[in-house]
Amino acid sequence: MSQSRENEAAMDEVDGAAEGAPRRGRMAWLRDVFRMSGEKSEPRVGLVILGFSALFIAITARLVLLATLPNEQVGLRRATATATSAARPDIVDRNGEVLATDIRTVSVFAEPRKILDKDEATELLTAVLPDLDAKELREKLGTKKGFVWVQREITPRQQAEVHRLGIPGVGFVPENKRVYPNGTVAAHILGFANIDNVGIAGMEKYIDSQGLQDLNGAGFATESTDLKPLKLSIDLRVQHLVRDELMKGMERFKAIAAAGAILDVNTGEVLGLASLPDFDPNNPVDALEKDRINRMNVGVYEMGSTFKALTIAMALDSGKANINSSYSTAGGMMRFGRQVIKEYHGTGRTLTVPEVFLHSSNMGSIKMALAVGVEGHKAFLKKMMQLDRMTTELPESAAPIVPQRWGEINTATIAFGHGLAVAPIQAMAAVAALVNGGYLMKPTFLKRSEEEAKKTAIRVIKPETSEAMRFIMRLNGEKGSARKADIPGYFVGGKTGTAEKVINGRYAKNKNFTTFTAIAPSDKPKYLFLAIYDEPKGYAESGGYSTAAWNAGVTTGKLIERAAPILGLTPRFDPPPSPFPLMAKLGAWGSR
Amino acid sequence: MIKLLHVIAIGALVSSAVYAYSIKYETTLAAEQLQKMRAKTQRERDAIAVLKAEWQFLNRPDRIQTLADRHLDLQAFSATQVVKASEIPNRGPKVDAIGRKLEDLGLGVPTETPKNTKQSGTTPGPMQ
Repeated sequence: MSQSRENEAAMDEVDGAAEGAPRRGRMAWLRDVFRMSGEKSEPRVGLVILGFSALFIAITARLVLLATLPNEQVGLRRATATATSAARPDIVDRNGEVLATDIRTVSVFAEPRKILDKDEATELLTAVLPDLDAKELREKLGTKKGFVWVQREITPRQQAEVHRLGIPGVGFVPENKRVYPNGTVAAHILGFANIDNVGIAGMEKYIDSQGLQDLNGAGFATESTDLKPLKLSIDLRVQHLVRDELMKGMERFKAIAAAGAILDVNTGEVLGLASLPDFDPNNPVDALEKDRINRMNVGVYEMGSTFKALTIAMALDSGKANINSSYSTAGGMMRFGRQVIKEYHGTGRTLTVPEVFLHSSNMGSIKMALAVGVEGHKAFLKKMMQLDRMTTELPESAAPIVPQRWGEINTATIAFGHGLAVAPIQAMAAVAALVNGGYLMKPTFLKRSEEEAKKTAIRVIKPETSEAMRFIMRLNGEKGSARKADIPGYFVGGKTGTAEKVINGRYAKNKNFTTFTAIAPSDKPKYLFLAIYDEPKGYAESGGYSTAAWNAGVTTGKLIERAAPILGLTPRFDPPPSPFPLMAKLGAWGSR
Repeated sequence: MIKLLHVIAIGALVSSAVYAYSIKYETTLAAEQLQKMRAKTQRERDAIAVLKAEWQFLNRPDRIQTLADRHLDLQAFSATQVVKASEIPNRGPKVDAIGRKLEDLGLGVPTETPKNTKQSGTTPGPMQ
């Protein structure tokens, strides 16, 4: 700038020379200009204008410089902001117990451009942080980047040591670390977040899908106190006992996998859901292994006899059958072309509707389904959300396996729970609708009230049909295959389901997939319990049987026994007066 | 006169400068303190978060269950132990046990309350 001013001054000088003024050196000329005289004002003003314009040009240039060149400090802050773990809201259970929370940790970063001696820095850092790979670190420091991580989430002690090294260009930045204090207890529901605090699975991923990442990207919400905790429908105590009983059961029955859940039938809230084997969300190294899937949501299974409840409800609701209709099971088998379907617990008698359910008669269910017809069957299952993928808040879900060409034989097998594989949570939603008065609602993992649930619910069957279903389930709990879960005081109803597993396209005789569905209390159900075992084996007391009643049934009984007091179900030892008024009026089998 | 005005003006200028400076200084100080307090609350908040997580970690159900199994002699809850509030029998009629005893001893006659206000400080015994 001063250069240009001199030039200008020189030009003035030339002008002055042109006027004929004698050349006496610069200082004399300046003195001449500043002499108090009128005729000199013009060059004086010119000089002042010149000086000020030079000043303003200098200021403008500096401003432009500041605006265009990236500021070191600001750039660093931005780099750390995008690189550090963002805050996540806490996840709490329905009673406010913490399921997942953020704690502050410190991470070490480096600015390779500012590190003078990279080899020395590598050496010093690896001495203090023994987990570091020296070669990798040297490579990282050798790059031209402005920001690299040295190590994430170090201990306060390590921080002090690194600080003492005093390497220029190495700094700390506070970060949020996600912790799951309850460990494995609700692993499949919570999912987990990675080191950058981005939700990878479960409810953690759900939180991100609700716009949390966008919030972080915009620079908001770096403190977890800014975020409202997410309240789940889960009850931590119930969740624990579900997992605990399944663990014990898996060991006792030597099953390869187990799953279970408790659902509030009136609100669709999941109170506890476990699938084993599971993983520890704090260290989810094995979370993505194939056998760690959430069997309730992601596994699809042929639910076996549990589906007979749907078949019976369909027949009763369509009016093609009533509670007193009877079906002949003479012969003990039915033929569909080349295929033969046998009775498992053959009676050979003519059975009424409740008896079909109690004896788990395949033939009775087939006849009921065929009475409704293939199209009617399909439409009913569609209405019950059994033919489409059911999506809950959990991002993981699986589409049911539906037969491609649905003929009479398919309706026949699906009537007793084979040939259609659905996710267990899907089946639970349907069974809940059968017993709660006919309202189908999607299960949810978020806390909600009954009113909120009713808003989204769809009526799928008549209340009378629902009463009939409760009646036959209770009958089965009292006298039928669900006796193992009939915990006194809770008026339990239930249904067993044993399906043979399909191995290489054939039903394997000795490999079962067992389910047990129970409701309590049957006169006015509040909760639906489900336990599932994959390939359970017989044991001494069961006489070698590995059917549902002997494993899933036993576990469901334990679930009810332990969960009911926590859930506030009051035990009643005298049977409720006329629990099923309509059934008594119709004089249904077993109502007297 | 003009000189005095000048003096006053200069005085006002200086005092206003001093005042402005002191205000600025105080503001800086206050801002610094605020920053310190913020950092402190943040530290406390972080500590609370860690403690909360730790509390939940120590109270996780599976740990409690193992500890209870090992150290406590508790039995599993049974449904028969539950009683509804309405099933609890009502309290019997109120019995004045002391009064009945006195009656049994033949002392049921009402005690004489002393008329004399001077003696109001003492309790009159029945044996008087």
